[in-house]
Amino acid sequence: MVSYLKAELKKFLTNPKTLLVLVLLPLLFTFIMGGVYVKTYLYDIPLVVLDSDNSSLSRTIVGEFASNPYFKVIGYVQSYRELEELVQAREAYAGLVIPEDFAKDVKEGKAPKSLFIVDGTNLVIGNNALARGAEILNTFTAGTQLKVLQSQGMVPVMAEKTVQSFSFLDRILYDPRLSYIGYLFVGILGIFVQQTYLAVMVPELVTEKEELAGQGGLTKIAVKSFVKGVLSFVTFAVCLFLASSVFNLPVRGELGYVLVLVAIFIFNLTVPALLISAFTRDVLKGSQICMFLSVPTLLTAGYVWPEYMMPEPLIIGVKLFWPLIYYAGPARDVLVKGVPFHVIWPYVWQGLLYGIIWIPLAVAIYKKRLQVSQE
Amino acid sequence: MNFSKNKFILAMIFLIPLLVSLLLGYQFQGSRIKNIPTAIIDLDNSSLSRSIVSEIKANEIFAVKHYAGSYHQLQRLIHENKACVGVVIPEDFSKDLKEYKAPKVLVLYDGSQMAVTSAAKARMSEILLTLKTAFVIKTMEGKLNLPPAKALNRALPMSFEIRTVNNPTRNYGNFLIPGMIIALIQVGLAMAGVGLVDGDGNKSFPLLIKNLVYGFLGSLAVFLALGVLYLFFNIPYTGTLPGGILITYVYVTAVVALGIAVGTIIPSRLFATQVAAILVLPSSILGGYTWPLLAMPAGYQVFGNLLPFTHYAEVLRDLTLKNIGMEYVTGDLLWLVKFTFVMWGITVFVSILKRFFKSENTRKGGALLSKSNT
Repeated sequence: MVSYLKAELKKFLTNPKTLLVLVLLPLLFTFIMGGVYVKTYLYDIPLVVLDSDNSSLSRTIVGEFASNPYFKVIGYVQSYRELEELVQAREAYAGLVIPEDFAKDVKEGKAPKSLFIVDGTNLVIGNNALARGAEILNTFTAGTQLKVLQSQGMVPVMAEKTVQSFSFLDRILYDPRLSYIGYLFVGILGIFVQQTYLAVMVPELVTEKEELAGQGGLTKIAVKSFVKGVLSFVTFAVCLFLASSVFNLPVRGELGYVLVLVAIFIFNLTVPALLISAFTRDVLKGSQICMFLSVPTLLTAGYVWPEYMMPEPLIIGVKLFWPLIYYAGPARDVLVKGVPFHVIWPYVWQGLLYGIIWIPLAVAIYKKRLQVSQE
Repeated sequence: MNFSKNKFILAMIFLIPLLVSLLLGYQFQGSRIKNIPTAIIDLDNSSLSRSIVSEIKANEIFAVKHYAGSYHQLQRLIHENKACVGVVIPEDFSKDLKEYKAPKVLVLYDGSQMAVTSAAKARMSEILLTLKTAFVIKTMEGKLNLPPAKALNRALPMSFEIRTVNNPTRNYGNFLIPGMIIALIQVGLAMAGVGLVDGDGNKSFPLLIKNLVYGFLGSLAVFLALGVLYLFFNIPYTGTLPGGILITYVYVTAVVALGIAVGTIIPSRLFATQVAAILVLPSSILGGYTWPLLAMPAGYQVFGNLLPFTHYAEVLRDLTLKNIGMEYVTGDLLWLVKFTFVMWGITVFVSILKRFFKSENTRKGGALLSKSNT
């Protein structure tokens, strides 16, 4: 075993490509991702204004939006049709529509209605536009309510208290900025590790099938997985460190727990590596399958779309076949929420169970497939 | 036509996106955020506090599952993933309200669940507005002796309707799925492009024909995968159909052309396949499909606009959700055509270089041979 280990390690020196893929690519992607999400807040949402009233009141409302950093007024139009065209063309993602006689109707107690339009095609922009827009409008409405009450003869102090009445105090726990990097990073890093590990393991398992399915094959497979696994693990740790120190990745919990989760994950990746290699004779095809898997595995790991909203049979199916689900969600919970160990414990033991049951099975399938194809 | 060589990848291009469509359609069904596990503590237990609780319960977004006894318990529920939202109505809430002491209801959100928290916050602020308006109306009826209709107008001197257009139910499936399918399929297309190139170099004209044919096949695969979503999972299609078909064809051709270019530059089939895949894989992030380009630093915006994905995926999403015609599509369509030409320019240029060096080597080898023979 030791001599095989030495041979494997020597391979890295003669063929640096493996090292490049396992180590450099995840690092590169970490840098790139960090840059993408470096701005925590979504500022300058393009807004178009249709002010048919043009009174000092309507101009005040418009002014509230214009001076707000979350919005950027990109145009003033004369008709709803023009507004619509700008939204359809993705030049604006929000619109403010103030009807004719707005100020007059307010004075006469006719309670006129204005419209704030939010484009729902990109929900990241849409949700932000809605939240920020609602804030501005509610504040403005409250201010106007105050004036109306006072004009009705209510004492200012009383009016203020009536309008204020009560409020909801929002507290966003853990990641108050609701940063995308906190939400996405540790899952996407898991995908980088998954893809690079598979990209180097599968070609070797396919080309060296005869050697590995034969005598002493299990030891050799174990050595291969171990060496690559350790490299992936170390790379992961470095990327995590980089993200937290340079790119504002929130870290509230025990990094040790995340490392445990990713170690189990990398260990379990041997299973899909073996299964894919078992059924492909051609390295190219094996690589192609691996590349195809990145998107679907991320989307079904209970990470982007929370587990409680996934249909039960799907959760079971995913847990049976792909180990990412035992890593992604709980890793984020540890990092962003700082959950205690007993919360991630189910994922830990289920992840280990996956490996314990599947690895012998996958090795058996791998060997059997070689026999079948030789006959 | 090289179909047999590429049979595998072609099958993958048709099969895998189709399966993933079925999978995502199934997973995202009912994909408005709803039934968010919510925990409430009512330390006031007045008729007013109970009406707040029932207002929250009545809302389909919140699934009130827990009634905690203490703030500490509430925090623990959120910490242990048993609730995503927590509401605390303090003691003496009703009393403080009547005495105009401006009491506060505390709402806790799980900040690690971005999608859920955004939806919950939006809905909570609507509920708050409804409750506050009701309170102001009552006060006006009481203090100012106004009849209900007038009180309503005074309480709400103006109102703002917030209308979400194009995806009015704020359905996450509509937002995410088309782009995710394209992100997936383009990996296969790029790899197929590589597969079209013979390591030794091809004649350009047949290669071009193959590119165009693959453009056709790839488009079929896209229509199949998206068709499934349309037929079975209520993903709409609202815009111009001819425009959609045309831009799909051009996009697919562009990505295959990218694969061909990579395959021409890199001699090793395996390495070229991996490079081509890696070039297109991060597109869904770098193209601003979710976190938008306008929120990225300037350099990223420039780079993002160089990706074919950026000029197709959002257009596709727009076509599913917006009632738009051809004129909204032409800009990106032309960009994709230009991109294809650039890819072809690279392919032809590199092919010529390769053939030049090859013939140089053959000539030199021949010269050496004849020298040694004399």
